[in-house]
Amino acid sequence: MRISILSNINLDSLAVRVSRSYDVYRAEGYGRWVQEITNSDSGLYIFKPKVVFIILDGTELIKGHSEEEYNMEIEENIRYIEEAISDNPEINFFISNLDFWTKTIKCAKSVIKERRVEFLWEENLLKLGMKYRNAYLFDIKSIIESIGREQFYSRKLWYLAGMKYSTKGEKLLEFCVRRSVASIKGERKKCLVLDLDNTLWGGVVGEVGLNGIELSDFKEGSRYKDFQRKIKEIKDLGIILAVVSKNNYSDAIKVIREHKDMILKEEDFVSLKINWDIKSQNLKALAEELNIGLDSIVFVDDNPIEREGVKSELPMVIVPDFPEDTSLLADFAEQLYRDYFYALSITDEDTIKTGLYQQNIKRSEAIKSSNSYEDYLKSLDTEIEIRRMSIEDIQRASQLTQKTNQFNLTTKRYSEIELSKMLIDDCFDCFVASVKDRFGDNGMVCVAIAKQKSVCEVELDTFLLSCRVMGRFIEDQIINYIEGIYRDMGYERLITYYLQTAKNVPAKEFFERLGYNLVEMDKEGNKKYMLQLKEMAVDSRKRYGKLVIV
Amino acid sequence: MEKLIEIVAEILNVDKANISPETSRDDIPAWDSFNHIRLIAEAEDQLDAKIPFEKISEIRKVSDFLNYVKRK
Repeated sequence: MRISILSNINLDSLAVRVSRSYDVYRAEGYGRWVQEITNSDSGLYIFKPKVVFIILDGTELIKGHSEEEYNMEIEENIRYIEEAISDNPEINFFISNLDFWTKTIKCAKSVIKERRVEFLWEENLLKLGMKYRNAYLFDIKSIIESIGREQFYSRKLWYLAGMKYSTKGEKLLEFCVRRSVASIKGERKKCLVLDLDNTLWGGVVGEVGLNGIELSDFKEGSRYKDFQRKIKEIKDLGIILAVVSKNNYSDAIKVIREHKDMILKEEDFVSLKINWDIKSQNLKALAEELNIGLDSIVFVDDNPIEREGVKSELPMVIVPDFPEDTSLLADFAEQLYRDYFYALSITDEDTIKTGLYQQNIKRSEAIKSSNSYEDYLKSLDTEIEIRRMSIEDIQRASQLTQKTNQFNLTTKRYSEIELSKMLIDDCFDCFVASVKDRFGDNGMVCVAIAKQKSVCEVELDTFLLSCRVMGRFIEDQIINYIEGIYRDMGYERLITYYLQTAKNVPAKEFFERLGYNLVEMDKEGNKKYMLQLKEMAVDSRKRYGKLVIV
Repeated sequence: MEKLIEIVAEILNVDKANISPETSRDDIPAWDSFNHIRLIAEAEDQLDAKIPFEKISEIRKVSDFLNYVKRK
């Protein structure tokens, strides 16, 4: 990953730290950030970074004292930044909020300029964030607020070398940079699995009963209530929750349903595995039920023996240490968010995710009660809506390319910016599909991108299906539709690929099943296929749903 | 001392085996003024050292840091 860190103070030392894991561009001389971002032939743009961090120091940036002066300075700097953001849509920009290390000495009645500037600057950045997909706030102030200016800055380094941040501050910044880059890459866990006794509440319910557990608005019990609040906030950002707990089901569910201080309700969890089975088995069953990888799960349990058990049985599951001091539980939840679930922005899909997984569990129950799998598929009343991708679809479509691992033929990851370019490129046709059935709306679950190679040949660049709807032969009807479009337009051949990864085995034989001809296969197992569009074997496509073309 | 040598090796990006308490700024080209500052900052942070501004230029060799480390 190529990134760049620009600043109006000396951040070479931060750049050195970060360059251990990324390719980092540093501008020569730290006063030159404006030239770097506004001049299209600058070293910065020749380097072609994917992410640019602009970390600015308030004191050095805004020198004016009167309102008129500082307003002008803010406006001017924001203008440079906006120009860079809009001219370079393929680069993601993270721009810091401003902090003033020292404030002007003033009497109690006068306006404190620094606070005004901090506020105005942030207002401007938030506007940029709303206006441009590729602009994000780099929240340096949260770090400073949590550790304090005294810890964050170092006078000595400033006077010695023009470096303002202490080693401690710099390490936290480094972490923030890494986290931002990881989110750009779309590395985020999906599911938080929680234990109950001494995790979501204090005490063991089987011993002390509903009224004996610690969970309340004040004092001791509020440690757990605050912890639950934070977990609820994480859930609202699109993370699904589940319980795996060794308990009598009746005791535990009574607390969840009836305790007045439970913030997390039964419907907040996609699954409650409350039994005496081994936790690793429960986690495995959960992953299967939800159709997610074990490596998308974070497991939180206060009991070190349970944690060790899960770690050794299922090394892919993330098992963080539980805080020994339970007054730190809410901070622990924030740490979980920052380390595993950090989100740059959320899609509409994220806010309804728990409901989607709950529907899926109902579907699996319907499978069990059907005579055959085919009967089940027929009973779903599936409706597949296919449409051309539009600007409003880009965020979710990009998310699908980033996150879909199993039924993904080429596993090409596309950022929102890359997709918006393809939308306006005549060579590409981008499709998306949404699926509904009698249990509910699954939302957008499929992205297909076709590339016109010549007057007679089209290539399938991307074809993926969310794991949510795998196994329902929805892909058959979608591909059939796409083949039809190009056949009717007079194209002769459709070229497709299966590019093997560690996870996309479910898609391995897809084109064989549909009657495509295998043209090439290399030793890694990557395959190239061709279909003569006039010879389409339509009867090999299964159809259980109603197709709606928009 | 061991910790100090580790820090020096990491910051200067050289093998620990090549660093001794007697290693001085003149011995290692990577020990330039920029890395000197990084060393001071890292030593203060990790070794709980306090190095007064006026003394920073007097540090010439690895063992000089020890004068400012409280917990040795």
